[in-house]
Amino acid sequence: MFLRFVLQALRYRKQRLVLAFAALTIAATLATILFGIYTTMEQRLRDEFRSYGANLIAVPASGSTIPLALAAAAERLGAEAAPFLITSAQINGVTVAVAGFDARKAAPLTSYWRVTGDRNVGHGECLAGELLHLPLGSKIAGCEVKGIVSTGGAEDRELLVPFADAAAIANTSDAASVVEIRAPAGQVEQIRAALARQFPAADVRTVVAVVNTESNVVLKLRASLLLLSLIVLVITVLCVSSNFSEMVLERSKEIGILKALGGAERRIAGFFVSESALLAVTATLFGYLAGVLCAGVIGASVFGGGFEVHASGLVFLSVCAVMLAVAVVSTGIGTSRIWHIEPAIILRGE
Amino acid sequence: VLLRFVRESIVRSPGRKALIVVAVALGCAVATAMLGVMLDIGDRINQELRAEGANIVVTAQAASLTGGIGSLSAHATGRAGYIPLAEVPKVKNIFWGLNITGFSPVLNAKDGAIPVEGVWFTHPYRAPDGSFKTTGIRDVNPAWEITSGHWPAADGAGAAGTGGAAQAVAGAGAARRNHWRTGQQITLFGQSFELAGILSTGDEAEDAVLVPLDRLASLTGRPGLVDRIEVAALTKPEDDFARKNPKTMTPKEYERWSCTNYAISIAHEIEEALPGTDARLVRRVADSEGKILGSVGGLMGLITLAALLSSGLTVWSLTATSMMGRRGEVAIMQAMGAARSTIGALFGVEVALTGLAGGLIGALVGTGLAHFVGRSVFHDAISVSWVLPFVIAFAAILVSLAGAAQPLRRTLRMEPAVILREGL
Repeated sequence: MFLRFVLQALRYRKQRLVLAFAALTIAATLATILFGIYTTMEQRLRDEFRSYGANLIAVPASGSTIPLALAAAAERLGAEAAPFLITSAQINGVTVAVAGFDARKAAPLTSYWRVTGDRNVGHGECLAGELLHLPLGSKIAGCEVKGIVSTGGAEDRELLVPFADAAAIANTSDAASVVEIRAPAGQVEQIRAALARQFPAADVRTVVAVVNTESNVVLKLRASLLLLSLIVLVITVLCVSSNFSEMVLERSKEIGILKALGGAERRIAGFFVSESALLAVTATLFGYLAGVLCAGVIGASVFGGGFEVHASGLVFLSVCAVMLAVAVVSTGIGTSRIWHIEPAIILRGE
Repeated sequence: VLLRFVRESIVRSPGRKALIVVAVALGCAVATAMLGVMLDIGDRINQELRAEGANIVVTAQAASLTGGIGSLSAHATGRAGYIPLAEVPKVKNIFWGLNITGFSPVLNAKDGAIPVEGVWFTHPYRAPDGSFKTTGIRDVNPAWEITSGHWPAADGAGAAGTGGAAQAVAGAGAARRNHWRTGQQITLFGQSFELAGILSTGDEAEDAVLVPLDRLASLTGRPGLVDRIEVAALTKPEDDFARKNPKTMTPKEYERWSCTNYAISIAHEIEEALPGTDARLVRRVADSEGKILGSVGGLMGLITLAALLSSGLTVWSLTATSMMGRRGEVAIMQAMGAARSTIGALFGVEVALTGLAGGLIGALVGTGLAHFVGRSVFHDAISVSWVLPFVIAFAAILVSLAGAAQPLRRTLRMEPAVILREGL
């Protein structure tokens, strides 16, 4: 009987309910999108900041080299590290700075290098800085130019060779001039301190501009996203709840008939509340699916990788709980009218 | 008749009308707040990213040899071209001068093993509009931290003094190696400087000593000359169009290219304003910043799109619902012989007015919300264009009309008798 009332009510006022359902679904979709973006945005943004390169730099405290083991130690601590060895060579009677780098390790830290040609150089190959004006494929100082690099920095005037080749030119072993390190956010200071303790010969520094700007921008974006999400959610909830209260008001006549037939107020209120609850749960289900889909599309088009809504069950349950609460509370407020409805007056048509 | 109809309709059920207006207003508030923040946030983040340091470096075309990696470089000195100091303020004289947030000339020298850089700390210059402004290395690198002591006083104050020691700032690495302390007198090139502060940057400046440019120029016998100019400019993320070669563009394309604040077109303009120089992008800063701005813009754009869609649908469904509740009214009017077009016009005006009222209120509230977000996040009000509220109100009218149209048409097509008999 109870179920039949609810189901019949759904069938009878199909169009009206489709609208209420649509409004709820939109709210649930929006909530899911905002939640999904909010939880993954920070990591995505920090990934983008990786293109600024190292946030820690290790240089010799005295002398001209630091142990190569520092790079390995940094990697063990969970950071990305790339050693560089700077030396010099004679090209046509001019001294040119030569930098040794490990193509594989340096790649994530130097994604801002613009290389024409191939940046993965092997033994006997090299990259030439743009301002050296060397043609691609030319042989110079015992290496073949495989690529021209342009950075706007010191590299533009250097010859970049594989690390081992530079070590041979400089006649050093297990030593680097600079180790660039990218520590994960939040562990920068910790890793810096650990490395500084382990390698007293090295001066491990925080690149202030990179670290500060990253945390500044990420925090500010996160805060504005949080505020905007809250505003959107509060307003959506207001809209949805007014919709629910209205649904009760519209049906004064039905309520009048039910009361005239001897229905208890509590029972009638129960009908309405369970109808809204059913609507809320189904709408959340649809809204959640639509939201996950949209968040995926947004993620893919902005960051080139979908936003996985983490702990999907949790997001679903929290969205569902909010929706249910909104539906039940606002219908509940609406149903308080039931007690005031006089069947005779309503049915007479006033 | 039209006005009376609307007035009557409002008077008869003020509560209901108010509810719709409020709902439309809420939808519009979301849209305005989102759009307001979205349109402004790119500029805000752009300003924050300027803390990464110079994105354009200007050198003389026959520039000197350097060695180093990334943000660490050691400039060999005394080899080649300089830029005349008098030319430096011309950096501001370009079309995009207002986008240049800071610039500082740099002169390199080496006293023994200590790299010394002559810079402007806070230097007055004559801006293109004739007023005096100040700029310097601190404006180029806002993220640099003085760990002890303070930045030197404005340039000129020390130099103009009668033999008073000029102030210098030492990088933390240089200070440790030489056992320097804040406030101590240090000797560079035979002249004593007062160490005003210790600087922590993490890049090459941490190994150097920064001294006032004019002092270093006279000490090293290169008055009026600088090695390079570091420029920090607010730029637009680079896209495919920006990467085109300006030499192969049609005049129209070139005009559009140079009238967009791409980092590369600003660099190009600087080269034209300072003949004989080479303005190069610092890829690490310029490219990364472009990438981040692109992502932030895309992210905000898509969220805004989602919010706009949802608020549009909310307004639409609301007007549709309220229209459905008024079938009876429509039926009575039809039964009394009103033409469909008349009924349509009557309801159309009413719905449009509700939309306008809701839209305007919502736009105002939304502007307030956008300001609130700006103040609480960026400690500065977000500037919302005055056009936005009108656009939003107009959109609210359109969406309301669209929402009302379908149910109204449906009712008009039904037999009035049927509707009235069912008592809906």
